[in-house]
Amino acid sequence: MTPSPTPQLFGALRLPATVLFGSGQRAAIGQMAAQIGKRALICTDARMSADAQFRPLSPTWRPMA
Amino acid sequence: VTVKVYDRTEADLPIDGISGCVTECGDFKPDVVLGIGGGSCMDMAKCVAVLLQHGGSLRDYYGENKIPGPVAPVFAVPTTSGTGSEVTPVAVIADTERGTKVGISSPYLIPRAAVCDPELTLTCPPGLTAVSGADALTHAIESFTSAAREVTPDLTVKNVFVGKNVLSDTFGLLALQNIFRALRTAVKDGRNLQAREQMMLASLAAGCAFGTAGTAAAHAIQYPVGNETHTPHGMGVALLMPYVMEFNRPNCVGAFAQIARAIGLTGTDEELSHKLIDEVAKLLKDIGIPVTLKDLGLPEDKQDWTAESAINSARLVNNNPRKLDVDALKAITRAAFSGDRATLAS
Repeated sequence: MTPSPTPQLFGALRLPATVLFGSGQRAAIGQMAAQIGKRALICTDARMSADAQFRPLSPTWRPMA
Repeated sequence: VTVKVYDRTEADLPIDGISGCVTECGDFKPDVVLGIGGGSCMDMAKCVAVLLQHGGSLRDYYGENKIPGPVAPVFAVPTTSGTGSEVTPVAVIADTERGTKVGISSPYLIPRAAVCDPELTLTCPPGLTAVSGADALTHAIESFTSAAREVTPDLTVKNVFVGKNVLSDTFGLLALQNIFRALRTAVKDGRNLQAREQMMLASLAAGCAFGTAGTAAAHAIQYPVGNETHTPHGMGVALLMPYVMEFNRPNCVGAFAQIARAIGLTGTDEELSHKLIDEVAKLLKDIGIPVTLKDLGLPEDKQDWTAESAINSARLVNNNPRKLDVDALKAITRAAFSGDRATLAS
């Protein structure tokens, strides 16, 4: 084993205030946005554009195949 | 909530597209900017938030810690499992005038919220699943094996990336366990939700790891390779990973053995440090990642140029566990060009 170059444990993390993980968690996006403000800009691409209109903020959003 | 959709984000995120979005959407004065898609869409949201808050040109913010203060809140919603951009302080854009990709890193770029829903990746095609997953694999290995720094009170104040540490390591191992469990299945059978969940957890965890620890040699060499060959970032870094690991192995026996045990291999540290490299190479081959820089389309006479360009990524070079100079980078690049990993063995 290579000896550790540092004599003590050191740790650093910088992360988002909220990290959500799990199937179906996208349904929380609308309410989370509403907690912050009244206007949301969505940056996405052509692959997503068909269902991008309003739907990502709706709790029933199911992206198109 | 009133919503405005900008749906013309392009792959590789050319700088003009970002200013175009800001010109078109600035008057809307959003309270929150959502990036929904792959790395480009999330990085678009980050860059738009910067320009809305601080104005100027993105060129003012190239490099590390150049963003002067907090930006509009960003929600990042990935639809691929790879970049980890949903949690990282990085945005990568294409400066079309300079013909290169450029990174902007600052803690102010970390999204306010990351929402990772694996169902959003069910329709991701096999090729993109492979390249994205390979990108996450590289993030996890390079952060877990990055050089540990001398710990000083201003280490995290002055630097965005601070090298190997006990917290990023936990996320790195979580990522690697899930990648070895699920990447092959996710590529072969995209509708397998369990594999999709494990891969999205892996890319999220790998992002948490490299967001503070940083990446190293494979990333330094990929930048010139990507600019020359216009191949996906994830494909280039992953292709380079086994060669970089072979070069780094003498300084990483313990770290490689730790990863190897976490993915279920057995043996002595020394044996495991070799076995892990073989396992990584096998996984990448199984999911269709090319094996040599030649296959990737790098011209033969660009090998030394690649190494000479890579040495300029000082932050990545210094983050490598084994000291890198131009000769070392040339040796890695030549081995990766010809596919002869054994020339790097020690």
